[in-house]
Amino acid sequence: MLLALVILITAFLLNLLLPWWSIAIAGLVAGFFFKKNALPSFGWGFLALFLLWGLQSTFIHIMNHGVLSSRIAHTLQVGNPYLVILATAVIGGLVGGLSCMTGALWTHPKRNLART
Amino acid sequence: MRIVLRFTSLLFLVVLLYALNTKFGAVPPVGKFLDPDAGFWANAEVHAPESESLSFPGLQEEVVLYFDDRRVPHIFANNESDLYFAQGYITAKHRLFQMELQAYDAAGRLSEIIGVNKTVQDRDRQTRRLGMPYGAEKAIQEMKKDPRTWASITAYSDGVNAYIESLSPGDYPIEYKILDAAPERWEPIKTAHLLKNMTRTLAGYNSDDRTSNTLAYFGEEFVDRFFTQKPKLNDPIIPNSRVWDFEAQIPEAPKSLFIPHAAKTIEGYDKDMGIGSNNWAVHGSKTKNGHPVLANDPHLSLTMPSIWHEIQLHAPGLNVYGVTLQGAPGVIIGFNEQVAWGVTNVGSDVMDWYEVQFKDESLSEYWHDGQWKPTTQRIEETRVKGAASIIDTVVYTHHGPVTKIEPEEPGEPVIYHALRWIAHEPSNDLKTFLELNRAQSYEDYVSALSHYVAPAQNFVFASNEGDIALWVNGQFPNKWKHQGRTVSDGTDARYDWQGWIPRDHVPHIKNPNRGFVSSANQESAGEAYPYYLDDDFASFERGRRINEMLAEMENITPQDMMNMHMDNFSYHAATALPELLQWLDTDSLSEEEKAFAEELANWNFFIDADEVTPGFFRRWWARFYNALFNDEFDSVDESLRYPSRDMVVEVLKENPDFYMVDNIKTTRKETLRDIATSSWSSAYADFKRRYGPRGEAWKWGFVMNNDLDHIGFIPGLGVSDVYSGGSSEAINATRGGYGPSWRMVVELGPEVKGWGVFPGGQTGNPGSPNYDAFVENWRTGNHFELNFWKTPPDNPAYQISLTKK
Repeated sequence: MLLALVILITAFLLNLLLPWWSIAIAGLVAGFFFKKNALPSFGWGFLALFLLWGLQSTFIHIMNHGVLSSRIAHTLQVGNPYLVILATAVIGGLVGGLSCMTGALWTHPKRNLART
Repeated sequence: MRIVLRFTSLLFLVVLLYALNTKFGAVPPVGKFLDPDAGFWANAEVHAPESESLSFPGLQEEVVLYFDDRRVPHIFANNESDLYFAQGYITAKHRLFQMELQAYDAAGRLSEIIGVNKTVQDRDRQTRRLGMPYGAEKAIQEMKKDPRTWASITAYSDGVNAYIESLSPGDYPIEYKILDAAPERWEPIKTAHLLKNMTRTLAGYNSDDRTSNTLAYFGEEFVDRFFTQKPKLNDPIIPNSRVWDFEAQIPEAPKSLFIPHAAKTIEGYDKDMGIGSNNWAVHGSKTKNGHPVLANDPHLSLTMPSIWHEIQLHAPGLNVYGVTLQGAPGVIIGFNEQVAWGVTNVGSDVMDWYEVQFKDESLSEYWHDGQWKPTTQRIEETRVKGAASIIDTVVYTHHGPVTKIEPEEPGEPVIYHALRWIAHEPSNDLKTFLELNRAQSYEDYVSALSHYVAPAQNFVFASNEGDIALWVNGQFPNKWKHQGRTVSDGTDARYDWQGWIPRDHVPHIKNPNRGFVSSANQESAGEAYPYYLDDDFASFERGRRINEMLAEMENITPQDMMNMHMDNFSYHAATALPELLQWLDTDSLSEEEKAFAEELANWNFFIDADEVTPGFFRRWWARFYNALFNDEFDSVDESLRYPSRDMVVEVLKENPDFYMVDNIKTTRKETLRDIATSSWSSAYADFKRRYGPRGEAWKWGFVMNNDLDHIGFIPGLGVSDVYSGGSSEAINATRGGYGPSWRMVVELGPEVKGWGVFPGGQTGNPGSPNYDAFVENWRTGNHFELNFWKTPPDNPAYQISLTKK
């Protein structure tokens, strides 16, 4: 849980200053230091960025009264602005999960997949 | 094992990040695009714009942009340089992608931002073979010669660049994010490119090859009847009552007309049928409060964002309001405290093809006027995003750039055509607009117009001094009658453009007795006018309607003029439908069809959105027209020129046995009754198939299918299905994606008042509610009252202050 919170906050701050892929740095570094197993790391990392990008885009969607998300839903041929939010959250989540898992895998060798 | 996992996981991560950061085909880089901080979400406007203060090098003093509640900038500057800097800045802030796209398009550089794409490459090649960059280079030389124009353009460019340089990638307009591209520096030549694009849109078509072919296949009589003769209802812009008190020197025509090789059609030069416009001005003697009133509505392709952007420019000696083109300083259509002006297109023939004889395949010399003359070459390098550049060598004769026409069958000769086009003349057309912005009187207006070359426009004018006027204005080649309506002989100097119509001989009129002036792209002047301009002006329909309405009206108010903008009366229907109905064999119709024919007979010819008749009438007419001509036209391999609808009705009324009525594909001899009835049946069946039984879906507002597409045709960024009335032959010339791109009415007087509306919004950001905020007012004909301020406002919606850094 704490892992997810740390990733969420770090990724949020990094993303303000650096390009979007900087969110992977948050996942890698937090995953490395929290030394959790690979799968839980993926899960927490996924959750963190799913929430971050999902909440950010939901906030924008609401404040913008859905003007742009509705148009983009049409552009991307998904039909519904909520699916655009979901796609944003899932893409964030994938990067978060994979980066956090990678970070975890590069940590202490004794904790490995077999034990989970 | 773990080492494998480590590296696999890392590899997956790197691949994922790379993939999400890369554009595949038309799919934007997904991660970059969805990023809530700098992806498309960043373009969503989450609060209304707020006031800000910024400083830039390049400014001389403080300049303030005050915005009203429609986000129209009202720029108050202490000098011209700061004024145009601020205009460049705000135009870029509102419309950067549009500015760039137009400039790329006009320069044949679309491939640079879009990448490998056949359609785009063809467009770029054609733009370059047309000599667009060549023309722009000539224009910029001319603009540099005039210090005031040049200063305006450079200040404007500096303003655009100040905005571009202030951007981080997250601030880029959304289209750049979709294309995964970045804005480039704005150079002054882009203003020249943009203006050339207007010439291409408005004066970049001809039907020389089609007319030559039609002459060859259908003969002189056909060409004379349909193209030389004018409809009886023709009502020229400069009325027939105008006396021409000058001696015209017309060049001598060759004894016999040159017959070109079967002219294969050169693609891409067809007239865009949606282009047209109206303007008029009424004298104070016809208005309620005694001041002149002026109206204008240019008909262009309706896009999101709109081609237009509203602005007010205020500086010492200057206070002007109107609409601008994105990429050029000043106001194009508008008014100041003393005068108002507007434009419609002049369909003069200023684009001619010449068949050229080259000495050999090197194309280095060509035969002209009894000698071999050298050609020049221009290397056109088109850079392509993500691929190698494309090199194209374009050969120029003194006429202009040469296009090769590949033979359709092996063994046939290769034909070369050179293009003579007004857009290649050196010109500083912008100067006209910059001077009109400051014009105080009729004399200033005439002086401003004298700089203008192309695209020729009917400039309507009204002033506080009570004058109304209209000049059919541009540089017109002085041609012998019908010169250049067919493909010309490139070897014979008599086919060259031999000088220009003298300035004071171009058609114009001031304060005519009838109390109004008007234009709707129809014939510029009546039979008595001695010079030849073209044989292919717009139909009489809109022009006649405007003139009839204005002639009848008295005590005119601005509201009357706004209502007139929405007039949907169709002369086409009024002349063609009664004939069609008369020819129709009603006995062969079902009861349901009979009832509908009755409905058509009772229709008042107004193309209103709620009517079910207009859509059907148009479909019926189209089928009838095809039944009339397609059998003959399809029997010829070459492209031919089709007669205009107004002449067709007239010819058939006079001569019901016109030979093309018969379908040459059948053995029996068809009559008008046969083809009117068969085209009715096919149109009726088509309507039922497409829209179901007669009902809501037959209403013209739906059938018209009026979409305002995004300029880059990006799905979701346009406005679809704008339920509208109108038609190209009505004053309200709205028709699927084309129509009145700006409607403006101005009442002159001590307090000049303006009303206007365009379909779109001020900002080009699809993430803003302002993006399409004016569409509903435009659709319903509710022009906005324009805020024309003499002093800075006390309570603007927000403001941007720019100061010197």
